[in-house]
Amino acid sequence: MAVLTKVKPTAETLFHIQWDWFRRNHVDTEVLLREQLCAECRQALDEGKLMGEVDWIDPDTGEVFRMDAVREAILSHCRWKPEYISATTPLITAVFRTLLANNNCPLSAHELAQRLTRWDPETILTVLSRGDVKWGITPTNGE
Amino acid sequence: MVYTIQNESFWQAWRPSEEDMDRLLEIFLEQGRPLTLDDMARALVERMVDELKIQRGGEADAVYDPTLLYEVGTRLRFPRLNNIVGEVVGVRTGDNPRYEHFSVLRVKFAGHPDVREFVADFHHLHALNFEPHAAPEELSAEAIYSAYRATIHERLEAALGASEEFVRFGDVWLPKALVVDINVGNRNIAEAMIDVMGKALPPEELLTEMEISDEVGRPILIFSVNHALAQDERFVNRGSEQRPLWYLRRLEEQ
Repeated sequence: MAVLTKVKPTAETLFHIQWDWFRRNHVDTEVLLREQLCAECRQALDEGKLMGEVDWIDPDTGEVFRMDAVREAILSHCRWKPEYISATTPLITAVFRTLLANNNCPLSAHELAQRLTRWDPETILTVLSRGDVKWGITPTNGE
Repeated sequence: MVYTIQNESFWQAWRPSEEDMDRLLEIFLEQGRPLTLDDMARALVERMVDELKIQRGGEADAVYDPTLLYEVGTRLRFPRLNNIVGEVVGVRTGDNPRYEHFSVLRVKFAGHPDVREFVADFHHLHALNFEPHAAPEELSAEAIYSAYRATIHERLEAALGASEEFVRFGDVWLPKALVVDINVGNRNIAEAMIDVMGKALPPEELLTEMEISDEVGRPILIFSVNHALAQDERFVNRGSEQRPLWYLRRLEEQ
């Protein structure tokens, strides 16, 4: 069954951001992540306030994880802004930002559709699974 | 966080499993006496709760509250992490300019090599999706037993009745494996005693003349005599099931 899932993802197949994909494709993740910041955090980054690693507090459990300040800003601040995923955000950007906001915990097309109400699971699945890998988003068993 | 065992649906669906029957056997071996349905059901729930607590890492000193600071050595239960229990092995200063001073607990969980970290002395409650002061429902065998006593009794009695491993006399049960064989020789002694005395006798008195080792303990011996005489058509109980008095059927008929 796992083999079939790997060959043909379904609406229940879990997807995540495979950070190694960016390195292999010579895409600068720092630039990419900067583009996901809200205006306020982008300014803070420009002023050198988002440097190094900080503690990120998982709001659901209180567990603390060390992560770079840019990612922490997205998780703790930018994701709550209405413009983080707006009515005009393209689907693949919205999926990328949803996974980022979920601390890259894998989500299925079905779960993504529950969060991104503009698209149904089939549409999300088609975009994620057709053609080349987009924004490093791959099935968790596709590594 | 509420455990499955605390839900009514769990007990509605519950039928004593082979594992539960093994637990009962262990309970009998530990207690070394016949048990009532109430004794068994209560002990079974206590055992299930104890096992669950051990699975979750044992007893905790406190429930994790991110607004509080804990000392090294404190054992905390984490309601948001399936109630697992871990021990605080260190405390460090929190590192995030977004929040004012806070601390980070370093927590070790049994069976996990990595130390995990949790926020402490943290007062930015808007950053949390849960109510830190909410007291989670305690996992109490007594509370579970009180709530579902009737259902547990009904299911357990049905399982014991259907099992060939347990025998009953009155309102007490014993595993067959623990019942002492009151052989025909000893039953003949009982018959003779009643015949000579000409009156109904309690099992304690009948045992005084029987040649049986009492290493299994008096309660099991008494149960065994009662169970054996109840199966033997020569005898009739003229007392109650709680205080049996054994007499001979043929003397009653005279």
